Amino acid sequence: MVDESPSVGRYQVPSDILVSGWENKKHGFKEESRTSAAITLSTGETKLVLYFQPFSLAISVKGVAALQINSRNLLNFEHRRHKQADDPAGYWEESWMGHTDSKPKGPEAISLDLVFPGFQHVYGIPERATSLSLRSTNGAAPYGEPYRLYNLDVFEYLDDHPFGLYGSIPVMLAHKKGLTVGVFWLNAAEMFVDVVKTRSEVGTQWIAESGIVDLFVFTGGSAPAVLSSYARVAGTTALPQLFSLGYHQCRWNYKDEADVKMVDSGFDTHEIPYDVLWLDIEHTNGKRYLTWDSSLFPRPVEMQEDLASRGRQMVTIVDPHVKRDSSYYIFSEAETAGHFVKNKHGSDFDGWCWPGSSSYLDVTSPAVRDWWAQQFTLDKYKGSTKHLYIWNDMNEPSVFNGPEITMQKDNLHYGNVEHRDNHNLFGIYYHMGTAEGLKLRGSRVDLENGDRPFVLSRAFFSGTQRVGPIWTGDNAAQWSHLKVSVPMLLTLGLTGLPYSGADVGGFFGNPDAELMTRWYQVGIYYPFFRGHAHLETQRREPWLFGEDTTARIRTAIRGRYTLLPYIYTLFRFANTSGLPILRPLWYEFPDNEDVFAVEEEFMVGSAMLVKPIVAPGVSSVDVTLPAGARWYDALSGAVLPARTRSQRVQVTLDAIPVYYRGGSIVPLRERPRRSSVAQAADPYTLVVALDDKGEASGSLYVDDGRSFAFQQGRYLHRDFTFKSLKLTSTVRLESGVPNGTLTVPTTIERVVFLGLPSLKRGYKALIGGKHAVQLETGPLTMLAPHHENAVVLRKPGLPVTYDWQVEIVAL
Amino acid sequence: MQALLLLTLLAGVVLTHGNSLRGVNPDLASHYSGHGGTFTCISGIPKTIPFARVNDDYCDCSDGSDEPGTSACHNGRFYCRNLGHEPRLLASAFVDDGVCDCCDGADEAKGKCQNTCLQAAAVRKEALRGKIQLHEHMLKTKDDYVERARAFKEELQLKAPTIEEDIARQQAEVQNLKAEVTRLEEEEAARQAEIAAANQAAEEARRADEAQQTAVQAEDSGSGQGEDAESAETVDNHAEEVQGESQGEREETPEERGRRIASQWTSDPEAAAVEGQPEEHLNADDSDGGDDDGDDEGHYDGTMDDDAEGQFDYPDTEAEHTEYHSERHHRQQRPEGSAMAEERPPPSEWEDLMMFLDLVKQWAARWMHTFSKILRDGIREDVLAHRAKIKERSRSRQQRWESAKQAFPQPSRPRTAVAVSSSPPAASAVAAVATDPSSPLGLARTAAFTAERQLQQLQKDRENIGTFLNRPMDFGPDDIFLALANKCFSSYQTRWTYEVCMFEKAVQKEGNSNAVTVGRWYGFSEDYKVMYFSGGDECWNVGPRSMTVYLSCGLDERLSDGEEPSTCAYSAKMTTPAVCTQAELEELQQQMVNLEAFEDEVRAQIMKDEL
Repeated sequence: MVDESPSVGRYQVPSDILVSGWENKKHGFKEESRTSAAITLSTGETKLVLYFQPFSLAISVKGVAALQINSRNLLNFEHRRHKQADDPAGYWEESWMGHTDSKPKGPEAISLDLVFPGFQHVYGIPERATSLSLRSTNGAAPYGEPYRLYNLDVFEYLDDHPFGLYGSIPVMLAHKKGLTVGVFWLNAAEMFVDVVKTRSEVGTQWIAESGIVDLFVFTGGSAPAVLSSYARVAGTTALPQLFSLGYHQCRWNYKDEADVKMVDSGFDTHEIPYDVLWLDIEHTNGKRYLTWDSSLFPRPVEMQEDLASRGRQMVTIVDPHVKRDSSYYIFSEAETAGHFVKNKHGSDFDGWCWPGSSSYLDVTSPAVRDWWAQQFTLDKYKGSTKHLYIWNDMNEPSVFNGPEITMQKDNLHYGNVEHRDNHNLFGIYYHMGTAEGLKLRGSRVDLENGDRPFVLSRAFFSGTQRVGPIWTGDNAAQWSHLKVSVPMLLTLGLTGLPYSGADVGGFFGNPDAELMTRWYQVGIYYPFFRGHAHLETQRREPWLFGEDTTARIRTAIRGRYTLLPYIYTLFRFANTSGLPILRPLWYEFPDNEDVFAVEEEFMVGSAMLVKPIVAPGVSSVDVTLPAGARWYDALSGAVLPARTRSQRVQVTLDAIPVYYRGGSIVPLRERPRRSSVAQAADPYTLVVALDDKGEASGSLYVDDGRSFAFQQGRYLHRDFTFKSLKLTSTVRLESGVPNGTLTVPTTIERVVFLGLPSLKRGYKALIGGKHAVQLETGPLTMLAPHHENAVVLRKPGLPVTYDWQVEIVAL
Repeated sequence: MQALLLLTLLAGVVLTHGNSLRGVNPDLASHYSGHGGTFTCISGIPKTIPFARVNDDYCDCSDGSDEPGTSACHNGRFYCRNLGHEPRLLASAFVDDGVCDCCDGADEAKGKCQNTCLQAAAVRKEALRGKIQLHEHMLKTKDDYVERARAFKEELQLKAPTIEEDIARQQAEVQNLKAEVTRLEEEEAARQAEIAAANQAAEEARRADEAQQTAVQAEDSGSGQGEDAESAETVDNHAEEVQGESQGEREETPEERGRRIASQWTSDPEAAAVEGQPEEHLNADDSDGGDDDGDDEGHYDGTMDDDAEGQFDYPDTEAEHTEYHSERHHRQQRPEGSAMAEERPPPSEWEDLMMFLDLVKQWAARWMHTFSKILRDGIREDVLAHRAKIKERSRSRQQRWESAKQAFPQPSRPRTAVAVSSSPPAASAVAAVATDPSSPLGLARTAAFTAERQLQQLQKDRENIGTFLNRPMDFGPDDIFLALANKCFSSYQTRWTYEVCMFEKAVQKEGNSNAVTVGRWYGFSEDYKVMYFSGGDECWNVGPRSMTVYLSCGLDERLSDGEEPSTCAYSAKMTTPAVCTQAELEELQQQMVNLEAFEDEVRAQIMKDEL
């Protein structure tokens, strides 16, 4: 809905924020009926009634009411106007804490109301530290304020607050028994969303400061269908480099080359795997990004090559503020070319950030992004190697002396766009430019297949999933921050951005050994898994909390590496279909009303349930294992009953409760290597957890883990099924992607069966119909080799690449 | 012992080819004989498997012992013999992972790695050479200790027979000299009084004059005193104006705002500023805010290190986001390494409070399940009551500290934050009068002071004689530990400081308060490798505290690793040259001989292996 011709100019989000192609696939609407008051249209199972006076839309799916648009008559916008003498204060200028916003176009706000009839739960509109199921905003403080979407660098954010943080995705999902529906308002200005719940519905009102109403409604019926539809518009998660799913060790700051060496060798000494070592802002020459402090890092290339010789990578930070120093090549080139964001007077904006006085690259311009991308080639970025990847921080953008620590809204961007219009896009555009840079570098390093970029960003918007991961910013070493990290990441997964994580340990403050232990035990399930710490905190590498804690953290991180085949496979589904990695219970159990608001537990894919422990001194905990499935303790293999109500389980400091869901086959790699790269040739284990019918299924996705060759079909995707006591491996074919052509020499070394009825004499396996092997008793996981109570097929030597069948026969 | 082992090992390896099973530790070779065609897991869950399953790249034993030469087990160990260098037990995870970990390359497929053992051995030889030199030096220091101990004892023996007489004589001497000082002081005081009287008379005369004149010239003019007061007031007002200008009324420049916000994230001025520019703004806001709740925070500098205690203050949950935080969050940085005990001011109320909250936390954690809500309300009252109490305490402590500071010169060290403003020293009357050291009074004072010092020395001698001569105490072979008589050594841990005073006691302190005596000198172990302190302060439910200090050979005395392994039984480690031995040196020398003796043989063997 656009009220003016583009020449007059309400701002519209550029098309490169979304993916292309979907606009042309228009579904025809069939006219069902027409009266003088309304017209009824349908497409598939969705029915739409358009009322003329007053205008409103009622959408239903399979006859179930799904959404009402403008049923409250709150669709409204400030029309374009000329200044008049009696205009109210604030129409043409606003002042706030010493900042003045000149508002040259006057008021431009636009709003609409969306009502979800018959629903009790809505989710989404990140980023904020709050509950998974969004609370009403007419409650007690701080929930008397609407949810806000305005990317900001919030200092020491609170763990339970509706305030908006570093990124914004204007996507909301509503779920009730039998129906999930999604909405996406494509608008990049400051936005407020009010949520008011009644017994019969969830009403929401949305207001943006400027721009247009460009609303997408997803009526697929289920959460996976809604997310797939959204992904067709905003894109799916880029398939990450496999290394980036390993453990990342970060700190503000690893001081110098000796420090880097010490930390790196610390991991080997303590036999803890990790993949990436990170350098924060202090590694630069005076916060001039893409340079090195030559006294601290005199030999950056040798340093990176040394890490790479053990299969490890490095990440350096590169922020969007550019130090105003004419002897700094990035500044002088960008200044000469006019690449900076302008202030309201049209000259280069000068704001304050880490380096002091700084200008900001106007990354909303495609030409600036092209130029920026070229800065990452090996010849341009001195001291970089192909093992170096990038971290974009402060891209909200953070401006220390600006209003709310960001840019003035009347600053000017490419195309004379005011900052108020595209504020929430700055982060994604900067992220995009940097990722393009690494892609460009990769295309020169590997001419044939290229190199997938890895760029972590703090700010984000719809579409960031196509670019790279984000993390939840500057959290704190508090139990409450560990707790809220779960709903925060679940919400990101439900809004199409599953590749995300919270800093393990908490950025501000000093975690004690117990908090550190519990955080690692949860953190290994974060899609992005990084430990990070503030400059003024005590050192906290995993081995600094005493031997017992070191052992626990070692087991946790090794557990992450064990899970990598499963996690990477989940990422493949995120890549092809837009499905989340971490999922709220209701996503997997959409008809179980008891779990619609559960955020104390989560699913990893569809096969594992994790119960984080988020308080000190816990020796037992209530676990909800949803009915409709069989659950197996992931350490002992013991079967737990599914119950409507939660059940109490004992815990120790050694592990948090994790369960396999019956009906799943989970691929693992159980050898605790020093990095993901060192696992490349290792054999696999399959955990076959049977459901009540004695069946299970799962899959395994494999490729080179780093290049774009998979897009040409250089990948391997197998489906495993267990049915009628037969375990079968078949090729997985998916529409829309080329069939896999990769072959690998790896085999399956262990198959663990959970839930086979116990037989006195046991079982044997017939491999390929003849070769018989007796099943043995062994550990479910090599992480707990002393629990020998699972039924194990030992060393079947099954090739991962090819079809095979194993039949289980009673002896 | 180690040397011998190495010697046999090298010889064994050079002469025979040993076990052909990959990765087997020679110490465990007997388990891998293959007798009977089976293998029994060495530890963990008891299990016997066909010998063909050893090193078959599948983990059968819970202790990983069936796969010494593959990466199949989580917890296995791969033995690299590293001929020419030192053998190593490598984690299974590092076997066949594409990285050469063993210098002989045995952990990876043949041909993958170069043999670097000789290079490694050369480095090791260099290190060994350094170690030998260091050890020689330590043994020399040890000899010096013996000599020092002997001299110390001899001196005490020499002084012992006459010590009581000497002290009595010296006491008399001190008394005489002090009397002389008193006499001279009285003389001086009388003289001063005369002068003062004369001056006052003159002054009164002058005032009388002035008063007369003033009365004549201007009737309404104030007295001299009044004038002074008024001008002082003017100065004060002016100062306030200046302050007001610099802090409140003037609007912040964009740069100042940027710096202020940057400083939220870090107290490191370098982190957010142009290099070389002073970061004065950081501290400007700190001077206010401290008083509104009565905290004394602002008076101390950065030595109140919140981070070091694992504490971190957060804004109230009601606080607004973003900019609103900035006013409340200026933390101060402590210069690195400045927290030496003698330099620290006394603990502040804040530290007391944190300590108390720590206790509360521990207590609360224990009882949380049962009482959580009631408890929380209760604690709030307790905290308030306790706060009031410690506020009182810290006030008086603050006063004591201020007066102590006036009496002694301040250690000169850079202060990063709010400076302590101290009033000028209040000097004693007499000290103010006679400062000339060459006057008769000055000379008498010096003489008295010197005599008193000598007396103190004699008294100390008597104490030493009592402690080290007349008590049947063991000071080690050749009385060597007498070289450390009267010495104390400290170990600074994150939270606790341990101090060990030789032949006296051991204490534990938190910050620099709450010293707890964790033991009094008990004695050495038979081999003089351990020192025992026992009968310390009572510990609730346990009895008296005790401490054990483990000695090892080192360049000098260093106390480290202070800890409390079990409740109220403490331990620490200490290095000293006093326990260095010739045998250790000989062992090192033997290692060197071994390395050199086999160099050629090893080189030949490596070449042969590579072919």
